Amino acid sequence: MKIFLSLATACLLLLISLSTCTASLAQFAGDWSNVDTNTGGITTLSISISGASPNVHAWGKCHPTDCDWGAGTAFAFAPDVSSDLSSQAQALMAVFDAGFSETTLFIKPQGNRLSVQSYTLFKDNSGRSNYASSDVFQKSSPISAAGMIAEIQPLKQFNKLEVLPIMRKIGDN
Amino acid sequence: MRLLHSCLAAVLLLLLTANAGLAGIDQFAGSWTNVDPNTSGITKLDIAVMGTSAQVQGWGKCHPTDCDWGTVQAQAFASGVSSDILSGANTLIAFFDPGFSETTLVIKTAGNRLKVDSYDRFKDNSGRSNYVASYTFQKAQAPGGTTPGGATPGGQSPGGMSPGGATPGSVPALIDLTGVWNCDDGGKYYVRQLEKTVWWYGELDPNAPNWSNVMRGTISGDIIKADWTDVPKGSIMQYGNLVLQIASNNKLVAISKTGGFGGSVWTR
Repeated sequence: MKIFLSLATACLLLLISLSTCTASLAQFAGDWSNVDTNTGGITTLSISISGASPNVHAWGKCHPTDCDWGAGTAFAFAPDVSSDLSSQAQALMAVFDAGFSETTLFIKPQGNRLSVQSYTLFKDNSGRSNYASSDVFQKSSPISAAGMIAEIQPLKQFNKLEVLPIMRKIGDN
Repeated sequence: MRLLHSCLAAVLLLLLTANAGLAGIDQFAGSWTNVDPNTSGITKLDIAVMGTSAQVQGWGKCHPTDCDWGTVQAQAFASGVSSDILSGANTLIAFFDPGFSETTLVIKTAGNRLKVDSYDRFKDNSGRSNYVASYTFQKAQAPGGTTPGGATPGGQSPGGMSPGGATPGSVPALIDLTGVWNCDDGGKYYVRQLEKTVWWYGELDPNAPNWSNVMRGTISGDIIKADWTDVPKGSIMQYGNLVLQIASNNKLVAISKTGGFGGSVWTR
């Protein structure tokens, strides 16, 4: 009986310890896929953590392969100025600067998924409107990131946005 | 009967037009106050809209008057790349940079209120953690407050509000630090505050402490500048300076330390 109780206590402690670990910067780590497989925006995020520093790598929808946005400048945010970022981070912010535009991602955990708010600001006086979008990401099986990395910048993704079939149709009319 | 239908259709159209007018960048315009009057963060926002452009002025909690962050140009975002910002803006992002920190406000409408997420990032290597906070704002009751654009340039900074950063010259409200505090160095600190002067005695253990120290400091705004020294109840004998930030009435955070002081955060 004593052994059983000890085992149960050990399991409980392990579970508590695991759930504590989940509420941390580590919960952002991994490869994430947009739950909307038809998205015209961000398709994949790959997030790694080094100490209290996040690294966010993003890919946008392109054909035939997604466009590699590279790694953005990323920061983690805790609930309080004296909180420990590693164990209490609640949000990440990542900025991708493609020159003609700048996309800022605000990433928050949502259960075992990620909620990502994306804000794209155009700096090229093209007349395009800055736009916001909202996506949900789920953990994906490890991607062969090395094979996806290309020299293509977010520009390709925006071009893609402009030639979506529905846009062409509107333009043709 | 036809006349009645025409009248109803006209009224309906009028209502739809009025609603459409509200669902754009104009819906952000105005003077907004935090629904939480006890917030230690952002207390007020003034948003001025001209065409597709918006300016945001923020105030953070300070005593005796709130700290003016100044006015910045905000960026408006719509739902799509070809949306009309004027009629379709759903988010404003305002960026305040007082030098030692950066604050990014993501402002969205929520009914007739504003939902604001504030992301504070420190650039001063002070060891303070970047933090995120969420606020809800409602339209200010009377337009008697400061008008948009009326801010004093060079006003106090976003990171300077409690609990974010240091703001010399502002005094956090209702501060009385007298009491027994715990620190992340494992020690217990017995603090006495008399007006703007603070003393403490701190020790690791009441019986056989490895270290024990005394401190005397002066409060200026939400900053305490202090000298400290170990005393021979413990065995370690060091001394130095401390700069502490009064994050709240129940929290102190070390901004800088010399002499090998171990503690960084005090709470009670």
